[in-house]
Amino acid sequence: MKLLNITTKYFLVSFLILLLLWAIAFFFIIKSKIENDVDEFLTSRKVQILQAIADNPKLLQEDSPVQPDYRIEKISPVQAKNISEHYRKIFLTDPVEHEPEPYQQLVTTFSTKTGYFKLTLQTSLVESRELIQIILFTVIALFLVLLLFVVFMNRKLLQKLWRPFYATLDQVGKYRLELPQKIQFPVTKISEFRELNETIDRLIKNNLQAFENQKRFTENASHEIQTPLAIVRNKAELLMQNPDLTAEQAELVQAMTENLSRLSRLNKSLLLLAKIQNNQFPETEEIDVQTILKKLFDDLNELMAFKNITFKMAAAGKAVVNMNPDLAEMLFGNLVRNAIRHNSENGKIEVTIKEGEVSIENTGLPFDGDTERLFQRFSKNSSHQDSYGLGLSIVKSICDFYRFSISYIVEKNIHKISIRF
Amino acid sequence: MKLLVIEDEPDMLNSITSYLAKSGYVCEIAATYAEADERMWLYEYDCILLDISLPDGNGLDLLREIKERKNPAGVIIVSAKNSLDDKIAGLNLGADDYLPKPFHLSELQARVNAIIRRKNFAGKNEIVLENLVIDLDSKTVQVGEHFLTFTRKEYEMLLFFVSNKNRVVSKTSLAEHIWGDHIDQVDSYDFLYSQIKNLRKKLKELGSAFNIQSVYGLGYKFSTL
Repeated sequence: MKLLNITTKYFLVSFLILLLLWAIAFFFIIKSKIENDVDEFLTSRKVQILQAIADNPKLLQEDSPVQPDYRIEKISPVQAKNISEHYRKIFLTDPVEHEPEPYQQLVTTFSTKTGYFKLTLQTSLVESRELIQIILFTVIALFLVLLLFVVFMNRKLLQKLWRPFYATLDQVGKYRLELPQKIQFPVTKISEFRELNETIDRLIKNNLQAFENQKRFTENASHEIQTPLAIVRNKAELLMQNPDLTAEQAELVQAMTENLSRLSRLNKSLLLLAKIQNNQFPETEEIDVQTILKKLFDDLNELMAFKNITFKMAAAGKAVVNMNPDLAEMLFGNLVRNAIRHNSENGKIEVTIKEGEVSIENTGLPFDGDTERLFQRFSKNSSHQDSYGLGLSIVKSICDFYRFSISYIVEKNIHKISIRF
Repeated sequence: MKLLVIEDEPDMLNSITSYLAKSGYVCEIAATYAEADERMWLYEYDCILLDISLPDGNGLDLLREIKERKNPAGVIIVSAKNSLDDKIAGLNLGADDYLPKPFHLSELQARVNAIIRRKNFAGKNEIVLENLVIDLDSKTVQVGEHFLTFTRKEYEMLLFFVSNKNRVVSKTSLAEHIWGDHIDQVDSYDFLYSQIKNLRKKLKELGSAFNIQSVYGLGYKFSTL
């Protein structure tokens, strides 16, 4: 869930609860205030009426005109004793609309020289109820508008405030240590984000430094190893020339030479990997995949003949890639040698070329491991002791460098490597 | 034939000179830029082996000087750096060949022979080994009046053997010479055996005095029986 949505969610929920509580409280406060006002009004009206009666007792006569808001009834002293002054809410049918309407009544008693009377005063609550409703609606409307505004502002503000953060995130997500690119952090006034950018920048610089060191180390180490290796190899070659070598000694020299060759191959491969990663193959030219593959397979036809491998090449389109010719030779050479090397006796190799895609299929031993691992350094199929597994690692490095996508599929005894350019 | 080997690593220098001396070349040595410079002023060489990284200078500068002075010697650059830039720069400056370290001495021998043959090309461009005659222009192999066709690779193998005659050539160096540097990635050298067998058969059929002998498990030797 996005930060923006989470903040909005929390904001919305807490705001709604607050609004609800506020509205309820407000409603009851206003309601009781208005009811108080009504009661006060009735009380003051009562005082007015009693005053009027005291001034003019004729008002109590039976034929006095009927007043709309009060009624006076003569009652017995016993009744008067039983009635205490009280307010009550009643519903009376409206003569025009024939609907019950709320009224507040004040019932009280008073006595004059002529006897005991019951006074019932009433006032319509319709207006105050409407007032309460209007107030309530206004409050709710106000709060809703406020809520919308706040949520909207919150989103806008968050979006604006967090923009540098998302920009940084985007940059870091796209960053690849092995590619020659620099991160351009957005300029921001927010100190936390600035700190974040600085921290990431430092982290990347440290990583880059470590990466550079590692690359340089590999390259330097390989270079340093090269000369003594060359010397030992040449000495072994000279030793080989000795006519007095016994069969036993010859075997020793042979084992030495073979392993020196392995060592020097390994060294060369490591150096090459370092060079690919150090971007030391800048020149590119257009390479026709079919031409280069044909040449490579042709060059090794004695090997295929030796294993009795059937070779087929089908081109449905032209695959032309723009890349360094030496790396192209390395990439396709490794694939070709791999297809021959891991093939079985009387096996098959099938090359399919389509526009922007090439796949090489060869028969071989079933492989049930993780094919992804085949691309990693020093991962090897145990049936081939000589292999240091750098061939496919080089292939992968070159593909990564040019952003080709490569896949390796093994189905039963068919191995298929496809590259899309 | 006179060679100048410019190389600062004494062990390397020894190996090179002792191997090349076996084919009858006179090898002179220089371990520094200054020494090499001086020798090139004083003497003439057929071929110069030039290490690019010298303690007191860059071999490429030396190459530049060789070319400026119109020194006719063939130049093979030998470099531990195996850097493409060096290779391109070297060949652009007029070097005849480039050999990255580590290399097989037999490979070096083949390259030196090729350059000397090219430089000393006068009239007939052919190699004669007893009764075996190889015409380098028409790429034919004959004994007396007897011709046989060799495939391109058989012919290249034969030339490699001829360059390293009477010496043991390892399977690795032979395979790398013919099939390229990366041939050692392909399984075993068993496939070489059938190639050698064919070549041997053809030479025998021709009646060549020289043929390929197996030397224990080490490799092969091109020599008279």
